[in-house]
Amino acid sequence: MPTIVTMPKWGLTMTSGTITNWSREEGDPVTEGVPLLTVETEKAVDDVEAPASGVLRKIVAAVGSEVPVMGAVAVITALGEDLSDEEVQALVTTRSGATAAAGGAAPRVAREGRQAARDTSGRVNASPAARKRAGELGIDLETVEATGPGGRITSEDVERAAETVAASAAAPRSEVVELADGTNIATLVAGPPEATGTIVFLHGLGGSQSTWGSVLGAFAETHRIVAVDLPGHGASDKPSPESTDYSVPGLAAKIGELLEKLELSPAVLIGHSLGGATALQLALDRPKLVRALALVDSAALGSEINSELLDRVESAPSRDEARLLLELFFENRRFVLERGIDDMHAARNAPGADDAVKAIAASAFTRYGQNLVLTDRLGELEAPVLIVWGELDRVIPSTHAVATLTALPTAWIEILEGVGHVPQVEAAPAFSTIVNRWLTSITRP
Amino acid sequence: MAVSAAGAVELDRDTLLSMYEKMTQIRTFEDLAGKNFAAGLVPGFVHLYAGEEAVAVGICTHLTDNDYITSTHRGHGHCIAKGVDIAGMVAELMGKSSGICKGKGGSMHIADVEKGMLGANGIVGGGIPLACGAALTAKTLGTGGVAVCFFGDGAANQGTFHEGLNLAAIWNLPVVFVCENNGYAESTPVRYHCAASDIANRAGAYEIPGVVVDGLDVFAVYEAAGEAIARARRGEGPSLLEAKTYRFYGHFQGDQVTYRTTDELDLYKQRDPIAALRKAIVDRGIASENELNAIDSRVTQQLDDAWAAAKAAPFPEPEEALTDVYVTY
Amino acid sequence: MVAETATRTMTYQQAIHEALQIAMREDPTVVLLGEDIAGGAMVDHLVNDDAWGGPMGVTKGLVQEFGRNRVLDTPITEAGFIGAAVGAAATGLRPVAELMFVDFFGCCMDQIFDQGAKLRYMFGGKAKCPVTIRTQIGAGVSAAGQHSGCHYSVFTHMPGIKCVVPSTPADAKGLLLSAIRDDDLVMFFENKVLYGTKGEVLEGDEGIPLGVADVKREGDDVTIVAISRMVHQALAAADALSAEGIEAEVIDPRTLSPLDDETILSSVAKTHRLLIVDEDNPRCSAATDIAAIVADKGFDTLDAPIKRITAPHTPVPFSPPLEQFYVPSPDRIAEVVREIV
Repeated sequence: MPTIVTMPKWGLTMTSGTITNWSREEGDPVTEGVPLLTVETEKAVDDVEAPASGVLRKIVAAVGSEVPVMGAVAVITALGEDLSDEEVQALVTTRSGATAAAGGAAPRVAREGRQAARDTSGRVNASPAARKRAGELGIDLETVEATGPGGRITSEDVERAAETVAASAAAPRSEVVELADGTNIATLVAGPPEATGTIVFLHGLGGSQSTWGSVLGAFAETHRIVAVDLPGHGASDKPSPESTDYSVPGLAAKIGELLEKLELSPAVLIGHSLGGATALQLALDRPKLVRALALVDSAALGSEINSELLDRVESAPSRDEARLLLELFFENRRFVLERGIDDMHAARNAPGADDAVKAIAASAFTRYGQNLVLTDRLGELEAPVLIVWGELDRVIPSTHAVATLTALPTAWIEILEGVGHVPQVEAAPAFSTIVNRWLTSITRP
Repeated sequence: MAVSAAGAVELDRDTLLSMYEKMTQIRTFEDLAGKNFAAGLVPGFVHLYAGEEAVAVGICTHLTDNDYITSTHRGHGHCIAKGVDIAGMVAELMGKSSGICKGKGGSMHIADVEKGMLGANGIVGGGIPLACGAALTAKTLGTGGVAVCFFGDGAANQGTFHEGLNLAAIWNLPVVFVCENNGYAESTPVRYHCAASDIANRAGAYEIPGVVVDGLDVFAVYEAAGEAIARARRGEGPSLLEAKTYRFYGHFQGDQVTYRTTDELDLYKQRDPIAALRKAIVDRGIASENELNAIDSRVTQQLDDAWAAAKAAPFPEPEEALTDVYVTY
Repeated sequence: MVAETATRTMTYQQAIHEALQIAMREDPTVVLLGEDIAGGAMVDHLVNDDAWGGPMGVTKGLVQEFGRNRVLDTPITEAGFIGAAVGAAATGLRPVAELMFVDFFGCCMDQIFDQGAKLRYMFGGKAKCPVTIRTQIGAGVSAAGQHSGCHYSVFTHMPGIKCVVPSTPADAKGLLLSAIRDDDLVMFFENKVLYGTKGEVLEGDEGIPLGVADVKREGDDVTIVAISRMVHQALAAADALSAEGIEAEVIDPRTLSPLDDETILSSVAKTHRLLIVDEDNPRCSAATDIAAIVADKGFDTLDAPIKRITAPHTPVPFSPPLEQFYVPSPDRIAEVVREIV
C-alpha cells in the first residue's frame, strides 16, 4: 500500500509551506518517524517526519516549491511494492482532488454551484425543501449558491451554506475592543461560537498575539479562543506612559475589563512571560473572571531574571537588537528567522511601542531581579493551574516552575527538554498536547 | 297466451285479504309520496307505481324471504310486495337516518337484502344480470330459492335483457323475468320503441317459455307467476312473463305527461286493479265492504304514522357520508 | 393460516393459478366465471376437462378438480356474467370473474361501477359485494389497440372498488388470495407480459394484505414509484444509475386503491426527489394521482419537481418499434432521473 506524504498544517492560519530540504533522494529507503523533509512557513521552520517506512518512490514537490496544506509532497511505497509512473500520478492527482469528492464507490458528477436563477417576479428559485430548511436555519436564500437543475437552490445547497456560515463564524478574525478610558485593545478571535469554553492568550514583553500562531489552531476547533495584543503591543493602542498605568497590576486591570466587555468570564487564561505575570495578577485580583490558569515561562514566580533581557529592552530598537532578543529567547537557532527579525524590528519601532515596552520593563524588572513576585500569594488561587517551562529558558530560569509546587501542590508542571523561553513556538506540538490534556482534565467532572 | 280472471283461481281468504292490503298499501304509499314530493318533502325524484299493483303483489305472494327480486327505478311497489318495512321506506325517501338505507340511497335504491330485495335500480336493465346472479347462487348452493326480475318495456331493448335471458337459458337458472309493459318507456310509446308487438315473443329467441298476462288482473298474474315460479323451483329453468299494465302517474313526479291523453288514463282508471280485487272479494262473499274499508283505514293510518315519524326523524350526520363504502379499507 | 418461509420458483401465471386453487379449496362459495376459463363447454369428450384453461392457461386444470359447476365458462356476454357475478356476490357466493382484457370494460362498466361498486353504500352498508374481477393489462406483445391497455386509473378513481397491481409471482399469489377473501369488489390487474416471469413464491396460504406497498430496492438519491411491470423497468434503470453513483429507491405500491401513501411519503422525505413510472396514458392517470398526493402532503420535502414517466396520450400501436416506444423503458427512466438529481 503506497503512502502519500502531505504538507502538514501547523498553526491556525497556515495555508501553505515551502520545502527547503529533502533529506532523502528518490529510491532511498525511509524509516517511519525519521525526518524526511524540512518545511518553512512564515512563522517557523521544522522537519516533517516520514509517516511510514518503505521506499521514497517519488518526490512530488521539489525544494523551493510552495505546497498548500494537505497537498501531496511525496509518495512512499512499501518494500517490494511496484507502482508505475501513471499509477503514482493517479494517486497524487486523486489526492489533490480528494477533499472535494463525495464518499462512495463512484463519485457522482456534481453540478457546479452558481448564482440561483430567478422567477419572473424576481424571487430566487428554490425548492420547497430548500425554502423550509433555509427558514429553519436562518439562511438568506439570496446568499445561497444553487446546484439544482435549472439553477434551483436545493436543500443540500442550503445545508452547505449553513456549514459555511458556521465555519466562517469559527474562522479567525480580528476584533477591536474599546475600554472605558478609550484604549483600543486588538484581539484575534476564533473558534465555534457555540463552544462552551474560552481561552484567553496573553503574550510576553515586546511580543504580540502572533507568538501563539503555531498552537491556536489546535484549540480553535473545540474552544473559543481570544489572543490579545497587550496595551503598548501589536495592533493595540500604545498610550504614553504618562497617561497609562503600565505596571503589571495596571495591565491586569485592563485585561479584566476586556474579559468583562467580551462577556468571556470565567475564561481560561494562558500567559507567557510578562503575560503570565499579568494573568496571575488578574487571577488573584479577580478570581471570578478566571476559570483556570496556565503560566508559560512566566514572570512573577521568582526574583531571578536575565539582565541581558534588560540590556535588550533598554537599548534603542535596532534590527541587531531584535536579532539578539530572539537569540535570547530561542534555544534552537533555527527559530531565529530573518523574517522573524524583521517583524520584531518593525514592531519595536511602531509609534509608542518602544516607550510602552520600556515603561513596562521599568515597572516589572530591575537589574537585580523582578520587582513583582507573587509566589507567596499562590496559595490564594482556587482555579486549577498549569505551569509549562522550557528547560533551557535563558530569560527566566525553569527553577521557578518547580518552586511553585510548594504553594501549589496540585498544579500540573511540565518542563520541556531542550526548549528555551518560548515553548509555544519552539515546541508547538508538545505544548499543544500538554495544554489540551490539562484542559480535558479540568473540564471532566 | 292470455290468462284472465275468468279462469277462477282458488285463493283462501287470508291470502286474498293480504293481497288486498298489500295493494292498498302500495297505492296509498304512492299517492302520499306524490303529494309530499310536490310539497317539497322528498329530495330528488320519485317514480310512482300506482296502477301496477297487481303485478308486484300477484307475483310476490308466491315468494319468501329466501327468494330474491330485483327491481327498477319504479321500485316502491316491489319493495312493499316483498315485505320491506314501510316506515323505513318513507324515511328513506326523505333521506333520514332512520331510512332503510340510512338515507344513502333514496327512492331509486331502496333495498333490503335480508328480505330478498336486491334493490330498486337507477339503471334501466341494470337489475337483469343481478337477478341471474342471485339465481346462480340459489342453484350453486342448492337453497331452493328463485329470483324474480322486474323490468319495464324500455329495458326489453337493453343489451342486458338479451344477455340475461341467454345466460339464464344456457345455465338453466331458476329465474323468472317479468316485463311490466306499461306502454311507455319514459315518454316514448312501446309501439315505437319496440320491434316486438309482444315482448313475450322474445322468449322464443332464447327458447324459454314466454307468456303474456293481463297485468291489471291480480288473479291472472298470480296464476301465471305461480306456474313460472314452480317451473323454476323444479329446476326447469327461466321463463319470461309480459304483464300488460298501466301507470296512473307520469314517468316521474313532475312529468306533465303530454304524451298520453286523459281519455286513455280514464279508460285505464276504470280498470283499476284494486277496485277489481275489491269487487271480486265482495262479490264472492269473502269479506264485506266494511271489512275492506277497515283495511283501508288501517293502511291510511299506517302511512300517516310513517310520514309523521319520518318528518320528525333526524337527518344523518354529515360524516355519515364517509361510511359504508367498503367492508374494510 | 400458517406462516410459511419455504419457497419455490414459479411463474407469475402459476402463482395466480395456485392462489385460485387454494381459494377454491378453502371456500366452497368461490366460483369462477369467464370466457373459456375451462373451454370446450358441452363438448362430449371434455365433460370434466378443459380445452384452454383460460386464454393464457391460468385456469387450466381447475375444472378437473372442481367441476363445471364451479368453473363456469360463459358466453361472450360481459354485462351478463359480470353482472351475474355481482348479483351472486350480494346473495352469498364469492365469485371470481375474469374480464379477459381490461380494454373490454366498456361492455360491463355499469355492472362494475354503478351496481357492484355502489351497492353497499346505497343500501346503507346493509349489503356487501365480495367479488374479484381478474383482468389482463399491458402492452408489449403486439396485441394492438384494443387488447393492450392498462386503465387501472379508471377503477382507482371509483369509490367502492379496490385495485391490485402485482408485479411479481410472489405478490400475485399473496395479493390474489387476499383479494378473493376480501369482502369488497376487487379488480385484480394481471400484466400479460409478466405471465412467464419467474420468482420465489412462498408455500402455504398466507395472503399479502391490500394497501401495503413494497420497497423493492433501497436507495437515498431518488424515489421511483413504479406500477405493475414498470417495477422491473425501474429496477433495470436503477442498476444502470448505480454505476453512476446514483442510488434509486424503487417502491411497488402493489395496490392503487387503497394506496399506501405513507411508504411513498417517507421515502420522498429521505430522497427529496420523486419519479413515477406508469404504463398507462398520462391524463388522469394513477401517476398523476400519486404526484398530486405527494405534491400536497410532501411539499416541503421536495428538491425537484415530481416527474411522471407514462405512455403517450395515444392508443397502443401495433408495430413493434412503435409499441416499444410507447412503453416506458429503463433508458427513459434513467434519463429523467439524471435530470432531477
